[in-house]
Amino acid sequence: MNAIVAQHIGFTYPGATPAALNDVSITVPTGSCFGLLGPNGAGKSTLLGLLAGILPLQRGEILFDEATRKNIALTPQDYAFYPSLSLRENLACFAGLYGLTGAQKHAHIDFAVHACGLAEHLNKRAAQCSGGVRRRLNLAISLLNRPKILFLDEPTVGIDAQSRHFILNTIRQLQQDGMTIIYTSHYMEEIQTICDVLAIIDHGTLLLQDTLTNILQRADTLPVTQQQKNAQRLEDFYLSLTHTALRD
Amino acid sequence: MTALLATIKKELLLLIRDIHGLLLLFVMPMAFILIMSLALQEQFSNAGVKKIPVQLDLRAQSAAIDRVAALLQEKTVFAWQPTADKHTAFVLTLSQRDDGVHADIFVAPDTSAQTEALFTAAVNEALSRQRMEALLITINMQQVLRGETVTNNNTPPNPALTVRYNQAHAENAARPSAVQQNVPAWLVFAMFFSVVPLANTLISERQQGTLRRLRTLPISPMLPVVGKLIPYFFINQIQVVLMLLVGVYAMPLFGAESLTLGNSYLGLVLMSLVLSTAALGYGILIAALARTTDQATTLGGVGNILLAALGGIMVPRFVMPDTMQRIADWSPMAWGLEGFLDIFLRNGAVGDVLPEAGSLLLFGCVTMALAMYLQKKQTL
Repeated sequence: MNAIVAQHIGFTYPGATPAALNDVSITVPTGSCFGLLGPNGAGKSTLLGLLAGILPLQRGEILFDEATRKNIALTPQDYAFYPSLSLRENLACFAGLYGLTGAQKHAHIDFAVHACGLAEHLNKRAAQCSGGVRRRLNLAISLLNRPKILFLDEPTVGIDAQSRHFILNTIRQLQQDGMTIIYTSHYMEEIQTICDVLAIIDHGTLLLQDTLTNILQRADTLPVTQQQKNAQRLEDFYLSLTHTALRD
Repeated sequence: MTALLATIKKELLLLIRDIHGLLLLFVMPMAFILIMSLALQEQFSNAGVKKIPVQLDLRAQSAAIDRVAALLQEKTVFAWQPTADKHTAFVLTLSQRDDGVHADIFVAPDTSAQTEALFTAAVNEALSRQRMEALLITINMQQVLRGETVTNNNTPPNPALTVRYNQAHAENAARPSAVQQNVPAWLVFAMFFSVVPLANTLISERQQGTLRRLRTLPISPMLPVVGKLIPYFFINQIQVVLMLLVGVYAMPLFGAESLTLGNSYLGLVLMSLVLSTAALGYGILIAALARTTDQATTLGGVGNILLAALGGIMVPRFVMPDTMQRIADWSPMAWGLEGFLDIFLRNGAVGDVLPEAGSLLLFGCVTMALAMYLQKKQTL
């Protein structure tokens, strides 16, 4: 069963050439963690914007599983909240925007707070928190409506290894609980850690979509230098030294 | 409704924590009202600094009348006009009688006592000087004829001078005092300055990606903007109440007169509502035009100062030349100020402020529609 089927998607920003996306077709299986890879300017954020309904569809069609269509959330790459409000106030504000009230509101906020490890920071203003806490708040806001599909646009940019590790574990847990995740990142090791299906796009065109296992099998046929192997091990080694516990 | 209330609560929290915004919206206009009203008290009581318009009417042809007229026209503080208009402060009629030149002065009702004293003294001086000159000429002629020194102990007679008051059009010609001018003027200015924090919060949301996130939420695309306009609308109403309280109760504590509010509270409420609509429309238009908060602060701030300078906020319209007064008609701040002055100064009712209120409402609706259109284009 598929959560999203997008066919022949095309999009051109007004006054800009060439097209940001050109005849892109992807299929996101329900309950999968779908990795969207590509260099800067490849069209990842545009595709994410179209799938999340932020941008109007110009060409092609996007089909959602009816049960999930109205229950999506986006974690933008930016800190999309109010810096001068406390974490509690931010969560309450967005819960209100989702139409949550009373006990349901408190339950959903508690879920997001615990999922993202924010309990001890709730009364701090967002502007005074570290990058790691802000990233987790950014994610927590997206979890307030308990989405069926969660779009994550580079959710670990600019944070330390501990916070990244925590966020990746959270995402893995959310997927295990049945949430469909669409994840964009520049970090190969992140994609390799949490995604089970991958799509690679560049210059607005889909280069490849397959399962991670199949793609890795193809990658094994390529020559790999010792330096590339070390790059993957470096983070494991660093975490074994500094441990995975959150610092803030 | 839950979403709207959440947006309003968020906006109020953001505003309360924005110290600079609060200073801009409340402290700055109160300081302006206080400083400008006190500093300009004398200027306003002297009816401004522009030349005093006088119509000169010569009822006869004689050397004596011509001389008096010439002496008066040397006084550069007066603007001499061939015919009277609504701005004319005095009509001076010079006629020839047996005992010399006679002056009649008609005084416009809104002319201050100081101006009247100044003009009367100038006319007296000119008449006296003409008589003195005539007397000296007579003495010189007698000396020449008799070949002797003649002393004359007779002082020239006091010129016959009658001052009358013209009460026609007294109400329409009323001019504001410093308090009556400055309280509504800086109130209008302050309401329009809500443009800066309003535009800045909208642009911050755009830059931070919050608006992008909001578009994935199950809410109307208009809600983020509406949820912002409602708190600022109430902020504007609080500004009106506070500034009027300053005018009525605080100004007398500093030795200035108390602001008179007129008789139409309904008209006052109407002006307050439409002025806020215009200011907020202008604010979201600035937010749609500017890319950064710096641009919004510059565009909004400089735009406000220009509108204020043109609209009679900084310089009262009645001291402006006619051309500038006609230009001022295009400033929404002038519409707001004139509406308030209609009520405070001219005892106007709702019907009297409808032209200004209509213009402000139209301005607010057009700027809001334009902002929405630009905002929609920018989301693509």
